Amino acid sequence: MKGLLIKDLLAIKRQGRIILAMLVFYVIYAAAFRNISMLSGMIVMLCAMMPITAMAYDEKCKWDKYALAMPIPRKTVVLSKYLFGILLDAAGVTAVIPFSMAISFFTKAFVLKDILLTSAVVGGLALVFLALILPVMFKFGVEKGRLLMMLAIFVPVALVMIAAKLGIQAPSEQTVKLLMFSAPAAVAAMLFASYKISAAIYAKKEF
Amino acid sequence: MDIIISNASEKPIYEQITAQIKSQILAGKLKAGEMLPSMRLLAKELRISVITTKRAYEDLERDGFVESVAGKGSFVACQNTEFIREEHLRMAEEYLTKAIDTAKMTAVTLDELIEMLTMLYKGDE
Amino acid sequence: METVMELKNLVKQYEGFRLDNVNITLPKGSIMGFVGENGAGKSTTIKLILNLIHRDSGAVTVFGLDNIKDERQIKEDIGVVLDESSFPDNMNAASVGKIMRHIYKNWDSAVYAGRLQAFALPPEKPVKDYSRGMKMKLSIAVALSHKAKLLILDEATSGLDPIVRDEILDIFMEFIQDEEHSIFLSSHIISDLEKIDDYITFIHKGKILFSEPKDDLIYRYGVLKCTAQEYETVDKSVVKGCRKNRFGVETLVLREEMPAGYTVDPASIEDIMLFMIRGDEK
Repeated sequence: MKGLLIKDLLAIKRQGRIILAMLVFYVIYAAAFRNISMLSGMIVMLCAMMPITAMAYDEKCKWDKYALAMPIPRKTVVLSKYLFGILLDAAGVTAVIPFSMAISFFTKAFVLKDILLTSAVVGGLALVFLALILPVMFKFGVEKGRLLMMLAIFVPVALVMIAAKLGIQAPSEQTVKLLMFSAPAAVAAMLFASYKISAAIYAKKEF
Repeated sequence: MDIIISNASEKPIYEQITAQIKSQILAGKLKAGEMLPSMRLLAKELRISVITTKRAYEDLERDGFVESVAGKGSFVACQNTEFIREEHLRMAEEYLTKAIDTAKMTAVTLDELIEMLTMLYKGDE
Repeated sequence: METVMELKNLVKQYEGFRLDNVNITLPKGSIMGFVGENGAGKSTTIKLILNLIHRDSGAVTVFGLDNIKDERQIKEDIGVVLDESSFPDNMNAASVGKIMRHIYKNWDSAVYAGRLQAFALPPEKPVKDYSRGMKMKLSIAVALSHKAKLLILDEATSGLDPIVRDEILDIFMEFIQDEEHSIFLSSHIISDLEKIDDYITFIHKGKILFSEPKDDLIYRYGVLKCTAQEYETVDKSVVKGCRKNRFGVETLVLREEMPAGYTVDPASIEDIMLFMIRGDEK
């Protein structure tokens, strides 16, 4: 497991530099426009996408074939991608907080509670997204998977927009609070189910 | 120990090895009790298969030239003169057969051959 | 003789191709060349050994263990070299070592470093700047650095220049000095491996045509070149393959059975293969 994680980290090193550049950009943006949600959202999303980037690299150099010739169980390969996503998601969330706090200190724009909440929500959403998209990636590969990924983003956004147009009320604060508390368990359950599905897909795959 | 093998020769490689080691033993270049290189090392140096060197060593052992000690290696066996003489006789017969085959190709007669043999044999004296 | 690997009645069906009842036995301490033309089933067989694809029926035993039940244990001791370099482009030999350390129980960093040096592979150079020969050597370096007892190579030497192929041959011969070590290598180019192979297994259209000690093969067969007239006088039961051209006939014959007076050249493994596949112009 450790070996696979190290490999994925090393593989995305180049992406890492891009992310750092974007981090700088969004920090400036957030400070200038006093808007934090863009910042935290983008950073966390980018980090959560990393497992998919890693999978793309794997596909390109046919790493899976080689890895499975080593004493690595198929389940471990699958699990490593999930762990990678979770770790980077956590890293993204953790990275956003100090920057947001620094900005709010200077601009008196944000409240700590809001910062933490927003970061956690986006972090959770990114994990939900991963839970939905990883089995698709394992089944169809990254190339075809990307198309479905677009759909996965587009459909919920479209639904929300349609709901707003139809005048459906946003859920009350009570409901939201309830959702917030049950969210971690729900996200965990989704990730677990997703992992099981991916593992089953990968077990049957032929290289 | 020098071993030169030819891929172009009609003789199988294991036979070439056997023949060369035998002649070195008979000539005294390899002394009794001396250890031969391992089969695997010989195969590596000559760039041939281990089965080939194994066969060569087995043949040498079968013909009494070499003794294998399990776990240690192969050693040149002690020779007795009778045995050596027999081996030399066998080799001479082989060479003579070659000479006869060659002679027959251009209808050289038996008498011509005997004359040549006598001349060559006495030539050293 | 101990067996290090055994394939029994292995079957894999694809649309348009069937790997049909493959039986191979690899004795411990030996080198087996697995040869056949492109598409004959070599890679399929190797993938079945490594469980990269799922077999339809049959069994594979390595080190006496089942290749599915004891998959993880077996793979600790197998060094694998496949025909494509499988490392991400921006990685280098040093990072590969870091990764492998956490994958193989018996990984030996000192041996790996020594191998890199012996192969002249700079540890910091990214894989994308490697030549094909260097990529192959890196895979071999990895395969030799975790105390592997069995090397499995799939078309590892194709696309390499003769110098590199020669260097790799030396590496194999060094590896086999330990009689606990064995090598199973597939290739469609056999000329350089012919010398060192102990056994040759020949696969054609998914079927094993023969699996024998190489010496037996090259001493059993010979190539007779003669005129069409002379060919008529040859007893056809000793002919194993025949190719006619405008100026004469080339046939694969059983040496022992040939009467004296015919000039029979030694047959190379390539000759035997070619005659078996294309020599049916009786």
